[in-house]
Amino acid sequence: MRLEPGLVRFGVAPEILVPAAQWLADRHSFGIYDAARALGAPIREVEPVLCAMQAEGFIEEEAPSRFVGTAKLNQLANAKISAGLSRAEADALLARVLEKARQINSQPDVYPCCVGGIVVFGSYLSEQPVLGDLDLGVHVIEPRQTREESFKIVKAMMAGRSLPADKTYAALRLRQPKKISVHALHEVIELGTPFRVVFGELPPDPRSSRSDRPRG
Amino acid sequence: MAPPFGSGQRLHAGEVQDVDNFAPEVLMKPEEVKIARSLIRRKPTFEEMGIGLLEKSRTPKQRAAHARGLELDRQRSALANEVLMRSCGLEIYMVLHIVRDDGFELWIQAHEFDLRPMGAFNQLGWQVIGVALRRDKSIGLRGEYGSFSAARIERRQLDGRWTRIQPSGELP
Repeated sequence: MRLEPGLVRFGVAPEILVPAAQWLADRHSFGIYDAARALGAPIREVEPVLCAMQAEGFIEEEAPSRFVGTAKLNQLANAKISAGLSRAEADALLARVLEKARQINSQPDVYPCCVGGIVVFGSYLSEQPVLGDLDLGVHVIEPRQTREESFKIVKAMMAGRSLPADKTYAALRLRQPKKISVHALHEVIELGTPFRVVFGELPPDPRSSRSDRPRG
Repeated sequence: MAPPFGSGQRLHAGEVQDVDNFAPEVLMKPEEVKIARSLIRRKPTFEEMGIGLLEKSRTPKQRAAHARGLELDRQRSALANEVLMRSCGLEIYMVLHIVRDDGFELWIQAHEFDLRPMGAFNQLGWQVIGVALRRDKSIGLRGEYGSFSAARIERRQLDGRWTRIQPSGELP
């Protein structure tokens, strides 16, 4: 879900609504006081908002004056506040990502993990003129490691440092995390959502290796 | 042109001029001021309530004083909520930006209003208790409190606009 910045929904600005939805979605059930706490407004102003959210199926009344969030509330909690991405801009970004992937594969000394394949999914495959963001699934191939190298990586991971694969994922994001969303390929396949291969080829079994999981 | 020396308009560094007078003595009726002063005066001391002692170590007298103190707190808070709502529309759960006349700034979501002695000459002030806002002005989790009397107060509305709160013209 994407919310336009400055466009109020239920009379609430998206910058207030999304954090409030996150706060409420974390709770098993909530009352009017919890909603007032989350939205930062007095009870009399929050009541019509809750009524409107209930009418649109974002919340359901569990007991008198007690509500539970629905799947729509979870979607709202995960919504992005952005003006969106035009298709031409998305195409240009995708071309830059593919160029970056070629660059990564040609510099094994800078990027230890190379890009095996990239798929595109989500709103890019739809007919919408304006997209939420550019969703990519990436298969990262880690080099064969010796025992000492594996041990070093585990030590670095335990110390909270980034993994070699993270460098590849970060490079593919082109420093535009609001426009490009990079996921591990096995996550996209597990989601069961349609995708299209735009770079390289799919591995025979992407689920077998967990090394292509991005952190953060 | 700068005001002449001694005109009373000069400010010290950090002081804010564009403030409204929210002094409880101005917003409350005389009988409410009396009640507020009495509620503050009658509050038992920490020693009388046995604050700092374990529950089982308190004497019956201390327990009674503790219960009395909590009830006085509740009454004082209820009076503060009522007066602030009536006189300037301040309510709990509002997200507020308070700039005091001495320059002190507070970003807070109000969970409770209270009355407390402030300054010299038995003056009263408002206390606001709640949670602090984060840097991006979203509602945080850290507890925050502050007191004010003369201040510029803005509240965040649901549509994201910040509007100024001023004492209404129908003051006692």
